[in-house]
Amino acid sequence: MPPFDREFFGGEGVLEIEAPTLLALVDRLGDLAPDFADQAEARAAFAVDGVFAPDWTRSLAGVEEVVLLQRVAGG
Amino acid sequence: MNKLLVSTTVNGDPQQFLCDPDTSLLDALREEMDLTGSKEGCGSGDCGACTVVLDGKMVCACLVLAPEAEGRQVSTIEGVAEGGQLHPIQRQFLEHGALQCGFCTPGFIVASKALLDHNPEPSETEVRYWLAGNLCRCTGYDKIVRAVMDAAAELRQDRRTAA
Amino acid sequence: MNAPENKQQFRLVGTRPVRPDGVEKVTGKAIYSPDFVAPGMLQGAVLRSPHPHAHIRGIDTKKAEALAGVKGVVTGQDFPQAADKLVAGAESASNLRWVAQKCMAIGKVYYEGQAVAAVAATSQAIAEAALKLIEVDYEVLPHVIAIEDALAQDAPVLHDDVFTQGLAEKPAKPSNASMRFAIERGDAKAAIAGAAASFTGCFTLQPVHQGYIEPHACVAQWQADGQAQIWCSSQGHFAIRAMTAGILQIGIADIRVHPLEIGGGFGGKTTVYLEPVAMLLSKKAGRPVRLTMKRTDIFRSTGPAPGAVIDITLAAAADGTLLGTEIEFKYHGGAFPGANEVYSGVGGAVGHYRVPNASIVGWNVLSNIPTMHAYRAPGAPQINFAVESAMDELAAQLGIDPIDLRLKNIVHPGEPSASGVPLGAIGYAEALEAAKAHPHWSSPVEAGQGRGVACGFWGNYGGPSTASVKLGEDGSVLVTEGSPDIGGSRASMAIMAAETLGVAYEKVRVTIADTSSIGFSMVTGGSRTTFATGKAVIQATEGVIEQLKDRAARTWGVDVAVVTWEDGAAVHGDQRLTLAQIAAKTGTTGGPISAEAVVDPHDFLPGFGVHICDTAVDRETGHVLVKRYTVVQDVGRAIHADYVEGQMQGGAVQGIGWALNEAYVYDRSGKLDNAGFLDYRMPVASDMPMIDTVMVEVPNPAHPYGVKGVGEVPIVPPLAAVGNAVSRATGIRMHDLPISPDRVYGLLRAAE
Repeated sequence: MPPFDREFFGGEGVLEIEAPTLLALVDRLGDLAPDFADQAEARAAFAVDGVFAPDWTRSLAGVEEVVLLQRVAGG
Repeated sequence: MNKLLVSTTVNGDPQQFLCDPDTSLLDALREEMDLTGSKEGCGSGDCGACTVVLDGKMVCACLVLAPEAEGRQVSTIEGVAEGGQLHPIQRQFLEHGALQCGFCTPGFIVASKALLDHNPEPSETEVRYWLAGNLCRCTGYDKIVRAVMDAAAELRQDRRTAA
Repeated sequence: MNAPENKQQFRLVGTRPVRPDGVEKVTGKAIYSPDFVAPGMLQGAVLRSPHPHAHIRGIDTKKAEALAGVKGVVTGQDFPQAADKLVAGAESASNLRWVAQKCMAIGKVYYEGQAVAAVAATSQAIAEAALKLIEVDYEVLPHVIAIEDALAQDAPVLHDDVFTQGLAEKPAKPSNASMRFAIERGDAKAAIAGAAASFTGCFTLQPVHQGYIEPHACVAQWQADGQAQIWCSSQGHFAIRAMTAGILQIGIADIRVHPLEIGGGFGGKTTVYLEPVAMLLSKKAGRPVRLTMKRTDIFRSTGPAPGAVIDITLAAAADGTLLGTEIEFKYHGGAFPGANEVYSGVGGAVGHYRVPNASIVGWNVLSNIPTMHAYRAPGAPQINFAVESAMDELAAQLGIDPIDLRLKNIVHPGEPSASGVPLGAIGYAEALEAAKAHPHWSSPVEAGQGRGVACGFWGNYGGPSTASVKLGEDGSVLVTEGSPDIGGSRASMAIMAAETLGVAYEKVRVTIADTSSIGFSMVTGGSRTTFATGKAVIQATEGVIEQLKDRAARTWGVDVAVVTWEDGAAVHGDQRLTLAQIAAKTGTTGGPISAEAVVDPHDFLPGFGVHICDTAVDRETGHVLVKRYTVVQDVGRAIHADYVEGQMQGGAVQGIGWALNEAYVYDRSGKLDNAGFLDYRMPVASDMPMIDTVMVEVPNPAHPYGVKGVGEVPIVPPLAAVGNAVSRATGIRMHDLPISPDRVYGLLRAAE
């Protein structure tokens, strides 16, 4: 989850978190790092089991892995 | 500072306008005559977006003072198509997709017409050097050069047909 | 080139019709930013700092305000205090605190050319005369320009509240290094130590400009009731609205941004520089105000792309298998933090190869130059220059054909990308095979020339877009979208709508609507428009087809489920109603037909390119001439083939300019020495050969017509393709861009 791991989560690259949706996951991450919650919407993107997931209301039931990604700008 | 009255001919039509002595022909065309087809990309004669023809000679309108147009013939992009009929260069630009953003296109078309008016059968190298004063940042010039070469061929064919 | 198993046949996709906005653009009628006129409009002018770094002690505008004809003067004090606030309007977030200061200095100037005051007056001449009457009291500060200078112990620090992000521990002191970002996997050091072949080198690049020919310009009108309109060209008028509203702290619905035709952007027109200033001037003056940038101001104050210092080691086994890499690079960030290029530089460095052991560290380094802004595949060409140069060195060391070396190491579908997300249906191998089969690659290299090859990729993007499709009573089709047409996208949208509906291309007309007339659409950037806005257009078209089928079903008194849509008509058995027939009857079948679609797709795919370049080097002058150039790229599927080829050719030539000529040159006082097209030398027609293109079509299965982003990929490989060609022509590795005549001359003399 670079660069967020170093910025907000003490360098922790893998976190075990239970959450029903990506929105809830962002809330849990925000509990760990309030600054992350402020910036998540503008900077973060998620891949759920290898697929980009722009809809954060989606259910995470049965999901093994969520990758937190930095959004990158194009030209 | 009093304004000067300039009487000139633009695309065959008589035009009179008032301008400051240091107004460029480009600003006079764009601001006084609403002929905004000639573009300002640099204001220093480096990009060719403002290319017009003054008494048969291709110039950057940003480097010509408006009062210099007194009594002379100015041809701009607005005069290239005749009525509703596109010039073959304009049509070839469209058919080749030789424009992307289109901002430099008027300058390229006026410059290309000036080339073909005096050299009906230019080589690729001649086209590239003639157009070296016109900057295009989108196309890489490939399709522009092809469009001009094909327009030249089409015009030669037209002339043969007419003769 | 393409042979997908279920090859679809299309009527229109892949053809080359004349673009719908073509005639107005070849006749000079199209209205670009500097062409727009509002009734009663005032002319504005902007005063810019002559110093690269200074405190503003005070600004006295009284004399300017007293000049006859002056209607308003604005300084940084008129800007609402902009605290840290992120807005997402483009793909990545922008911090309004910094965006505001790119429009107008607030208390301090950070680069030569930063705006410090602006005037609106009844004529341009009066506005410019008024600028001369504004007195700015500067306390000049020491400045720093170059990356390594900005990192020196005694360097002037630009911001006392910017601390390096991305370190394990929060640093105690502020720094010009605003960010560190790294990817580590495996054990790079050990892998390199045990490798049969390795290359180590340092590569440098200077900042370059996007170089769009249309200057930034806008007209703003901010009324007494708080409502405002802005007319300007941009890559995204919704982003202009979001940033202007955020900086000026007014409501989104109170600003209506009208998109004018855009004369090039390449990433550089995804932000505001003038709009908030023109708005404040208009509010003071009570009239619309036009602001237009001069070319020198564009170079001095708008977004260049980062210069870089890149240290790389790349190592391979004897058979060419890449084993490991260590890369540490520093990119220019410019005056303010927030530049994004480091992320893509780290992620994209070796993202096109399987490299099991990698340590890639990137730094964003602030200095007294304009803040970096996106330029076509932002952050990728710089790092790619180093990586693909190193690949060329390894190929030479190991005696392996440079294309074969790449084929041995490339990523394939299903393998993890740099971010860890698996790659979808990419066509990288297909592109390399097509390059290898191209007559350019097999032709003998002419005497005195060198041939270089380089690969590159860009991730592309999707994101939100809105489109609506309406039927005219005569059966014509009106598409409305919110993505500015920067290179022929109206034609692509018309092709996709006409293909989907089964009607003639000429029946479809496309409008780019203002921010109040169509729903949110992200910027035309990130190579997303034909993909994402195309999806919106197709979806809205399908919505119209559903309604057409419903009208036909009800006309025939059958269930809609048994009605199909074929070749522009509703069909049930031997009954048939064309689109035009149904459209003519809407008055008695339930009213007009239209549909809107809002999409936010993220099933985009990256694009991969392979470039081959032949150069001749004049040993007397050091001048490099590109003799032959071929661009091969996986384009997914070309919707309008001319404009796909045009992207490939234009991107390649921008990259060639970057390789050979273009660079920001600063003098000792921190002023830009070449702020004009004469001295900032972009490629002209006589510099270039024809640019041959090969469109390799490996469709994106997530798009109805297989679209992948095309526009950004082609600027990534040319830097190294040119560098490798010159290196092979001279026998000297090119480490530093631009490969200008003086540099080549010096290297040749030193080698003698």
